[in-house]
Amino acid sequence: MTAPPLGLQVGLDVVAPLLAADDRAVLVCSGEPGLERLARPWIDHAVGCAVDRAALGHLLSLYADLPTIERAAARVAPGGAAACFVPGGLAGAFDLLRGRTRPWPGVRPTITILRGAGLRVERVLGIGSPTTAWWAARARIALAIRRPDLADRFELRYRRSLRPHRAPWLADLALVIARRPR
Amino acid sequence: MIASSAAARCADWIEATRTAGGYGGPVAHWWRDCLIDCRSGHDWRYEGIVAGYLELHRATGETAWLDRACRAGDDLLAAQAEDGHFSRSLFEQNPGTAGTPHEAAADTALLRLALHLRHDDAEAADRYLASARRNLEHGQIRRLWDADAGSFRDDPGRPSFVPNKACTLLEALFLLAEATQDDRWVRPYAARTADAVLRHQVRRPGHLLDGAIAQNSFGAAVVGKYFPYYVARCIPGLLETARFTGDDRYAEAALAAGRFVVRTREADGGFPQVVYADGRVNRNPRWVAAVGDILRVLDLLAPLGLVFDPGPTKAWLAAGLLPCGAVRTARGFARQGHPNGTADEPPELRDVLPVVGWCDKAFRYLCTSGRHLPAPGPAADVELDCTFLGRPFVCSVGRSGVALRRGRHEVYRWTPGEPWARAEPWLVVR
Repeated sequence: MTAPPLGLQVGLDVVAPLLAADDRAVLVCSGEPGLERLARPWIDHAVGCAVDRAALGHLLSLYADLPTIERAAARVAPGGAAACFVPGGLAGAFDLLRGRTRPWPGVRPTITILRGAGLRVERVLGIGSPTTAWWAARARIALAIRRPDLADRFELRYRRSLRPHRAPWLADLALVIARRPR
Repeated sequence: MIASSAAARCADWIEATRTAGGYGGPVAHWWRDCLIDCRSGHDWRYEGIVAGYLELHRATGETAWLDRACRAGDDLLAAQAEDGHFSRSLFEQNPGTAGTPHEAAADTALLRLALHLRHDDAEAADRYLASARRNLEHGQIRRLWDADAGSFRDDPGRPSFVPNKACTLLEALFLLAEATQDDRWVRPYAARTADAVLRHQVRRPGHLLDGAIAQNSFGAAVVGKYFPYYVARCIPGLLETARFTGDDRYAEAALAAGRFVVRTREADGGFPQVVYADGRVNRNPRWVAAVGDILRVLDLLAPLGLVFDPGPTKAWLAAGLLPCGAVRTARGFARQGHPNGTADEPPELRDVLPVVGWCDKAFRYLCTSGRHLPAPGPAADVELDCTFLGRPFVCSVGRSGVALRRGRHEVYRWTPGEPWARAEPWLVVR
């Protein structure tokens, strides 16, 4: 894989401008092997979790576990942002379709952890909806019946179904954005 | 003459998009969009920018054009990593790297610069040549050449071939051979790659698709999609191979490809997006700025006997010139993937969104055959009704960038020079 999954790319587009603010270092933590490397091109001043600094500007968490988020959130500087990607409410169902399961935390525990670290939650978004699987399936079926014209049309609808919305419980991927008050 | 031309106005707009590291801005495309990350991209936008500036330098002798071309070349030098790849070289899929055909297209820019400067500034020429050579040798040939298949892969991880991308790579390799006076850069690759392109070409005299070249293949499975724009981009590589090998089959294939492109042209001068193997069409969006490439390569076929009246397509391009100097990207994005319907009014955001990596194609053409075209009135911002994601907005486009608003509420803004566009999250799409 040379790029993050498309839904995650959409999410990175949402948070990258926030994490670029003030040219401060961004601590990137990942719970999935290789994902940190794929997300790096979005972040100009990224540093890995191994970097030991008292405080960093911002935090980007890519499915990191709760203890990791808790430790990292404590290091977010005043005015800094924390962007945490976690599985959305439909992630379990989507994972069944993908043939795998994931133990990662959901939205509520992540919000609790971030608040506990003194951050203010500004926004919670969902990416991917029930229609995402529907359009992906239709595109595959169209290809199977040799209708690439329809497949192209459904692929476009699939891409559009990934635009962020306000219902993380109806999403494959959720994004929690928080900030430490100045 | 040049100062008041559409080419000069377009050049000024292109320069206005400069940000840290090069030319930036959003990207709209058939496959993906990159509307938020507006950092500099080091992809095929450099192909037309440098070729255009060098053409203006040749035509006027003014060093300012050469300076701009060199600065563009310096962007690529600075963007090159140890492995030879350029940062953010995936255009619509930015911010990734190792983009095809984007890095090869950027190499053509470096090599044209090297050839242009070799007598007057050999040191600079050597720098550009070395950079292009490093990318071509390590990033393209070693990574993508499939000796068993006799062609360049699109994805190093699996058998895959995209004719138009391979032809762009051939263009770069021919330029490298010219710059180094060493044909080892083309002898093992040119004929075999061109043969692979020919295997993707439809030859059915009298049929709509005669001469069309399939978009891609995976192993032996050819994907039956024929994009007139991308078929046109195969032509220069085929012609270069014909010249090098002396084999007329490649010139004949280029001519057939050109005839296919001409055959698909619509009455208003535009071209459909894609024709499928069964004759079905997804017409929209129809490119505007990119037809500069089509006009340029069809000119190359005139000596071979292509009969083509460029008038309607020149008018199509001219109608897309924006007062700020940029060229609109397309018409019909609102009906993307649909077989018909013009839906030009109101336009979709991405129709009027100027994209450097499309404008460079128009710019290159405006700097050559289209040099007489005047600039389109005063360079003022324009404001127009448009749509995006099915909703109505007011869009302003100009030197100050692109803004989308509903009432007084601004939901999207790209300001030239800014690395990121500002947008409401629900407008963030790929």
